[in-house]
Amino acid sequence: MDPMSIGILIVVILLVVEVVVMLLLLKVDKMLLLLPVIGVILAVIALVLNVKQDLIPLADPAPFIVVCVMIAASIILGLFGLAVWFKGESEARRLVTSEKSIDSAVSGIESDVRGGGMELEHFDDEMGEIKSKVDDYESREKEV
Amino acid sequence: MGTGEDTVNRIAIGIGGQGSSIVNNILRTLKHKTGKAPKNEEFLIIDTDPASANACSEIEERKKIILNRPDKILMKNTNRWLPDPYLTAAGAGCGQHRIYGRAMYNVHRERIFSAIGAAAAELRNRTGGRDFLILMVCAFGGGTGSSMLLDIAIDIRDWISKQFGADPVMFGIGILPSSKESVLPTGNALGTLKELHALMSHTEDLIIDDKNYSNPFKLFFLLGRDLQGQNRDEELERAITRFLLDLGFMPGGAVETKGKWLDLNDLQNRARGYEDRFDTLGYYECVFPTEKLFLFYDIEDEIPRVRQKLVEIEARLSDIRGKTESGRSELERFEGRIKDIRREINAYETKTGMFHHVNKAGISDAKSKLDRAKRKAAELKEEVFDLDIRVSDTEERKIASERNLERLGALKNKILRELTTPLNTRTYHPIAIAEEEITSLKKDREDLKNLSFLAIMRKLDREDEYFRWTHSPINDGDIIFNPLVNYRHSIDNVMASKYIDILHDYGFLSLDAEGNVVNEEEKFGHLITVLSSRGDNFDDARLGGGAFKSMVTERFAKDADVLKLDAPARAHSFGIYTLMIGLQPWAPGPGLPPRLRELEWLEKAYNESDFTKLQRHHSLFYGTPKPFSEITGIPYSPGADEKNRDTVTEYWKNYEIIESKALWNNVPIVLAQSLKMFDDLLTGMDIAENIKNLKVPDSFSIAGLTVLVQGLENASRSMEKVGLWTKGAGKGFAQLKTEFEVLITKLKGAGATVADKAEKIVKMIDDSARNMEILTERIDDLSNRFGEDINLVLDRAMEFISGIPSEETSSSVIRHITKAESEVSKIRETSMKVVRGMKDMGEPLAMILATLRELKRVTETSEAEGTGEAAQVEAVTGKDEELPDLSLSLEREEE
Repeated sequence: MDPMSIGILIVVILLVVEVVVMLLLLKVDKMLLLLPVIGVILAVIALVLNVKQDLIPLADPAPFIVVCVMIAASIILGLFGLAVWFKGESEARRLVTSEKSIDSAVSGIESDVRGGGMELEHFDDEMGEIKSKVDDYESREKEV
Repeated sequence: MGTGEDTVNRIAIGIGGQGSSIVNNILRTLKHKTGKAPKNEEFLIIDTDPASANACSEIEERKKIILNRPDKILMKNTNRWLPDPYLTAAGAGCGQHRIYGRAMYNVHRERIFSAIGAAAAELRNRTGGRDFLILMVCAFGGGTGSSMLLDIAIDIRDWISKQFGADPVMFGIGILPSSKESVLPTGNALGTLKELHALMSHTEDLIIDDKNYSNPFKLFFLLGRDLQGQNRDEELERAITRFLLDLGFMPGGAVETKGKWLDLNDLQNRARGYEDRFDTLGYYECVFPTEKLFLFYDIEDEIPRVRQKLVEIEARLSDIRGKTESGRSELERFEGRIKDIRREINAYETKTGMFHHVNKAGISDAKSKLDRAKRKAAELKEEVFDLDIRVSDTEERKIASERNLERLGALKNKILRELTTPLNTRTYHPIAIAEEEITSLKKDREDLKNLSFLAIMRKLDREDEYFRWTHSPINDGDIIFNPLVNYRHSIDNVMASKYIDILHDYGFLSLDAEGNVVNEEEKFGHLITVLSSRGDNFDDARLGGGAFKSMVTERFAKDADVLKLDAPARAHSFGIYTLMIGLQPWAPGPGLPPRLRELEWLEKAYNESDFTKLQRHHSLFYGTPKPFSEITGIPYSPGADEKNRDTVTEYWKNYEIIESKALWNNVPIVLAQSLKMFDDLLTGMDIAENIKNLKVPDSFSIAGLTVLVQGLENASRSMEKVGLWTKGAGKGFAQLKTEFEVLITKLKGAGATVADKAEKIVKMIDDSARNMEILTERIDDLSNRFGEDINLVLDRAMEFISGIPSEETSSSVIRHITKAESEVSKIRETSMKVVRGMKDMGEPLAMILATLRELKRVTETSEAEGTGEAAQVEAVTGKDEELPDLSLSLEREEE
């Protein structure tokens, strides 16, 4: 097998892996899978054409150029699929981050409010203590 | 009392509003001191006013005997003798009507009895002891306490005696009303005193209808609400409580003392022979105000702490306020953000197709968290709002706390004032401490607790002051004049010195080395002085207890004890308690003020009631004519309720609070008054005689005329005096005659007097009679020639005036002549009245002479009776014979 076929085969394998990963691990929308799947088909056609150049009724180097174009198109489709996935993911992360920032800010306010409430309770206790002390002093004053 | 176990059961019974309040105070103080009521004590109150009884919060509900007013029918059925107007009472309780109080007692007697009996039986079971001490406290002015006291006392004594086989020791405390109270309570008090005195005078058992009418009280203390013109209610209540608790009478054995000093038996022994007389208490306390000082220090330290705390609170509050404001605005902002994110998430989720990727799992979690945050933000908004309100509330409370701080500051200043310029009364003397001393003592604050009063005063370099306030009252004898009632030990200071001289001449009184009047008759029975403080506060060398005792026994009491009570708990106070046993409240002589000053206003108020109204002031013997009749010897008519009631009222109306033997002490006083009157008469006659010695010049000169006019003016004045004297003497003789007659009537029922006294009295009577005879002769002689003598000298004067040459009659001489003629005419006119007055004296003088003879006869008869009894009396009492009284007329002095 000539080096060109080996390269095309690697592209095919990478695209298949991409499809499998996107399908199984990233759980992307099936429509998005079309891009790497088309890429795989184009790469496979390119491989076949590369092996059987005589199937192309064109003079050299036209068959070679066709193969290269097809393999380039399959690579572009594979990369485009990845780019679309990445863009969708970044958007999701951005939204989650915004949500988390609000959540933590609200929690901060909540802890401030709770802390303030507890402090107020403490102050009430302290001021109640002051009052009872004053009353106590006054009653002691009556006894002495 | 020692610290040992005391098995004497003690019952304190407060009757009526004030009595209940005092018993409640005793219990409160007791609980405060010991934390609980002791097991051998019971505290009961009996009241007819539910509001007043409910105010006694320390007394257990089951120990409150509240007597409700019965309806008129029940009241009448139980008390047939009760007049219709008194079937109900106005106002609260018994409406201050003692007669109504007695009727109430009759209605509720069984209930009162069962309650007291249950308490006594409970005590007996609890302690196993069969001896009882019963303390009864009531006011004499009210309707409930004063009317029920005697019946309850008699009934309880009999019940306990029958039930447990031994008479209880009963002490009574009676509060006398002040001079400013209205007629009703003041009159009630005299009614109560009369009945109590009558009961107390029966020292032997007197059982009638299964009821013993003898004196139930071993000691009965009279205390006055009005001490030396000032209302001392607060002082009185404190003194009673302190007295009973500090000396260990309540609770028995609880006072921490070292060694045995005085127990109930000792006290009874000292009171023996004086059970039929009233007693009183005295209380004086000098304190170093350590507790107040410590309180001042505590407050002084507390104020900066509180102030610092409030500053911190203020700072934190403004911080919280800032946070709530920023939180509120942030929450509003977040709500907008949440909406935006939500919108963005929605937009993100809606994207589909080949060129879009949506992370559904991740975004769904974010969505739910965002919803939660949204809810939380909404809740927080409410919480922030609440917090805001709470911050406002806390700020208000902070303002209130600042006011509390101001109160604390004011309290500190008040205590400082009280420390630096304390309010001293006759019974309570806190030591004044200067501000510098307060500051310097603070450094040794902890040591102060252990230092003695004396050591603290030494530390302050005020040792002399300490002894002046604590030991000198004994040395100088001041405490004898500090009883809680207005009592005159001696009225020699208001007696005319002439009276004292006469009584002294006849041996009825003597004078000590310092010139003080010494009169055995004026002395009360027994003075017990208890000095209570921690041992190291006493300095025996400076105390002079022996000298005090000598001074007291020489001038004021027949016997005296000075006891030291080493009370470890009283490190910073020096208390002086006195028990004055066997007082003589009555007046020492006719026309003289009573020793117990309260009797002055009590009698005045009592006498304002006419016979019909008088019954509201009385209680004892109403409805019980048989015992009344047997005791007094006055017959009664069975079934004639109204008549019997009036007989009882009449008896009380005429009853006098005086011992029959003491009546003999009145005789020398009246005789001294008569002798003094005779002396005054003789002086008056000398003045009258002198008028005729007017000097008339032989020949005219301006100087001679002037002298004559002056002489006539003097003679005119003297004549006026003599005129007044003859007029006054007539009244005086009439009064003296009445006094003699009343006295003779009383003496006839007073029993025998001692021979020695009778002898002196007879001598006085003889001298009086002789003086009277001389006086009669002189008056007779003077009245016969007085007019003639005066006319003679006046004629000479007129002769001189008519002989003045006409050439000498200048305007000045004419003025003199006119004046002289006017004076002559006045003298003539007055002299005729004087002669008539002198002649009018003859009749009363003759009657007095007859009265004196009667008095002599009564005295000699009594002497004869007394000679036979004297030996027996001596053997029984073992006491010296009494000498006559020394006192003379206060009222006459005031007049």
